[in-house]
Amino acid sequence: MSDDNVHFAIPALVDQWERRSISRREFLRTATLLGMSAAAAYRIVGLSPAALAAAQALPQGGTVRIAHPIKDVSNPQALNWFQFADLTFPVVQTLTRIGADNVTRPHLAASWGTSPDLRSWTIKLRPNAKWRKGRPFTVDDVIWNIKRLIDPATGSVSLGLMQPYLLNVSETDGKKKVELWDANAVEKVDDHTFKLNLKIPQVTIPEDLFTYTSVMLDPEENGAFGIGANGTGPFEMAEFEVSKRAVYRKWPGYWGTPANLDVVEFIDFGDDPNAAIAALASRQVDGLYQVAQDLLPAVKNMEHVKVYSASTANNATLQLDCTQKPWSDPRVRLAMRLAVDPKKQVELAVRGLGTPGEHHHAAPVHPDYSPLPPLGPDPAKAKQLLADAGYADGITADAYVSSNLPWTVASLEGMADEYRAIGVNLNVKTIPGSQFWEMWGKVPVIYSDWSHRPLAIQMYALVYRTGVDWNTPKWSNAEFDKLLDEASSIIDPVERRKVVAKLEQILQQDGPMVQPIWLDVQTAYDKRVLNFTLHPALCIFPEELALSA
Amino acid sequence: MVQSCIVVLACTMLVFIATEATPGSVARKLLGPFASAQQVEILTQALGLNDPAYVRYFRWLGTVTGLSSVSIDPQATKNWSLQSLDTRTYFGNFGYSTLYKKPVNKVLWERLANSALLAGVALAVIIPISIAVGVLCGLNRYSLLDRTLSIVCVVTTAIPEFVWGILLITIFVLKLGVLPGTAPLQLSGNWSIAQQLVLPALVLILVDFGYIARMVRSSVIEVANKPYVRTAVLKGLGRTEIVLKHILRNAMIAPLTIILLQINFLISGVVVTEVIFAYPGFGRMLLEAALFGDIAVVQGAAIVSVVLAISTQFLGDIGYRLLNPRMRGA
Repeated sequence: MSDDNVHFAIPALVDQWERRSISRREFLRTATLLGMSAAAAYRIVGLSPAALAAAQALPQGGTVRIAHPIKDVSNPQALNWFQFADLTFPVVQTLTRIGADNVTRPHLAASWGTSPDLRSWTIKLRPNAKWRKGRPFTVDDVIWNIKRLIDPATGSVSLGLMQPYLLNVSETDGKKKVELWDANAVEKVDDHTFKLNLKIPQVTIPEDLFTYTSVMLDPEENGAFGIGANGTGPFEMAEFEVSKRAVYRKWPGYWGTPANLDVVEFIDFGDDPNAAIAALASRQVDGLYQVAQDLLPAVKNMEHVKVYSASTANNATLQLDCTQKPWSDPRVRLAMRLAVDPKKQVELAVRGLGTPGEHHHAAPVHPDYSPLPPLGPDPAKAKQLLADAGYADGITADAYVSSNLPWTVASLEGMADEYRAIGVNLNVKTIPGSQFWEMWGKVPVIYSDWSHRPLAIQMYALVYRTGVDWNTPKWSNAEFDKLLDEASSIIDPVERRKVVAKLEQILQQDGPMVQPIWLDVQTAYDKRVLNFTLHPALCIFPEELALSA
Repeated sequence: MVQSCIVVLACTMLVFIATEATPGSVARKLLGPFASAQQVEILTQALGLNDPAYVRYFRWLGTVTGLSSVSIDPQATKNWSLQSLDTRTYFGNFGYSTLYKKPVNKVLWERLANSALLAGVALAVIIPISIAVGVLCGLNRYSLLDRTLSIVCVVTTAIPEFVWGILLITIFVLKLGVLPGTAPLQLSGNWSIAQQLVLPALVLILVDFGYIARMVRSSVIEVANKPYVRTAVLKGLGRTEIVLKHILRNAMIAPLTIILLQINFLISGVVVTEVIFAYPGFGRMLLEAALFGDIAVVQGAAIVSVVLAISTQFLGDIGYRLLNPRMRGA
């Protein structure tokens, strides 16, 4: 396909939208994914990109302070949580960006297009994009960064993400060897155009390019990141101190639309969420990263504050190690799912601020979500399954959860109560966050949270595909892997949803986890802060913010 | 002095043993949960974390005392922000903080200074108030004034720090809006550093003054019944002279120990107050480091705390001698 032409699937997509067989959001998502500009896609559905219009009238200048944890981000490509990308995104950028509306837009990339078989993606960079220190941003920079991302020494989660379609991984003497599956896998066309030639069809490339680790670092600085580090983003990092604060100053010469604000400051108020609320109350900060459910009433009482809320695909799963007894028996895992009442969990653990989970990790907000009949609760059947598996006398196990997220602790304790009814005695072990992640993947039963991802199949590829790093329960299902490949090669959202339904069913019946809740997220900002939109992954894009006088 | 050094050395060993018992690998903490086992192993080797415990203890002791230097393979750590590893050899080099990503000395002394500031503000109010209240109660024992002030002292001391914190934030921040809700010691939201110090200092004052006042009261009552006070009264000395020269001076000997112990408490033990008000103090640093498993910071902070405790006791000894001439020959 020529990049200058409309993708072959676009006319069919427009037809589907006109017949209303797909939703507006599905149309926008898929059309932009196939290379159509967001503005054009919005025009087709009869909308104008509101944010674009609003931006022109925003006041300039000022400082916005946001309460936000400050951790080490010296290696942005090896971050472990989306949360900390807020500290790198002002300076270094990704090729694409997924907005609060779940629509993927060009960012450092100007446009993209794909071949009909979804195995070749042509990505054009913005010709005017440049590094703050003056050099133009080119394909050579992208290739250097892709090679760095797939180097195991970098420790990037992007490696696991790209592995199925871009890499060959082998292991000798316990050492992982990673290489591009083909010498031409990342092909330079010219200074501003490159191609990704994939091993298997993949529809999520533009979305994968927004992974929080996929930021473009400066090869001339060998990827070093910190105060004064070079970047293509609209800000320069001016101050940074772990557990204290990070300050970013506007880069007036930014190649795109310069930021409205002069300065953005993130301040760490420690582990007590009440401190950040008190800071917001006394206007020491203008916004919060997130508001916990139990603190929401206090924030709602503040007259100068606006509360934002969004349904998301944030969740937590109780992971069961499929290589260890009794969890290796699918009947036991199914019994664990059947014993839990998700509606009760939503009420108890998150005060109703969420949606009941369906134990298949595809959320109602995912465009590829396919509703299935509810699974349980059915304690009698769960008990029977345990008896059939040889555990009529019950099971006793330790289950670990991080103290950093109170809602996951409440949820696990609630589930432990429900499990007693079927004879499963789950000892809840609440441990500090720093120690929790050391145990992740090492203990047989652990309750861990997952960030929002725009597509269910992205989550499936990251967590449930056989052998990927984040598949810590070591679950393997050949049919699931096959169907996931199939789903990843389908452009038509309606057709893809049919395959995702099968994937959901497999996870419900055989999957390695219990997933009781979809979490709504909330945050709060001073009403003087303009143009804030709550991103489902809680990303903050400070260049979009402005401050009223 | 020699005894003090032995105490410090014993404490370093105890702290080292205790930190050895904490779960988890230092290299894993540095690299994060998703680093490969290979990466963790490389860094473990580079930091010498596989060496026996006693080797690591003496290596650490050598670094702290300035007898040996830190050596690390820069290639093994090139991606992990250890550029600021303090490899110089000097007395008091506590090593590198895995949590704060900088030499321990750059965090520890700053946090200690912050806590000393808060403790200084609190003590400047606590000492005169508690002495005044204690003397008033002691000289008017069982009177209405004594009973009222004693109840106030008991109640304020009995209420935990976190309750005071929430109560004061509710009143002064949420209801009245006259004070900032946190004290990050950064100029933000038009609140000065002095204004930020008010609420955390107030919590410490409320929690602490009643305890010292009760001690002063008991001591004043005891001294007031001594024969030499009765003699002074019979000699016809004025009440002010009796109180200042004969009662207060002798009554302060016992509370002095308590006041000096409060210095230790206010500098290294007010974790709850520091967390509630996001105050960047020594206690909060110690808590964060302990939860993260930042052994270098925990060890450094523990040594500084011990030295602080020994120093205040040393000051106490000097104070006793000044207040009680009979002890000068002891």
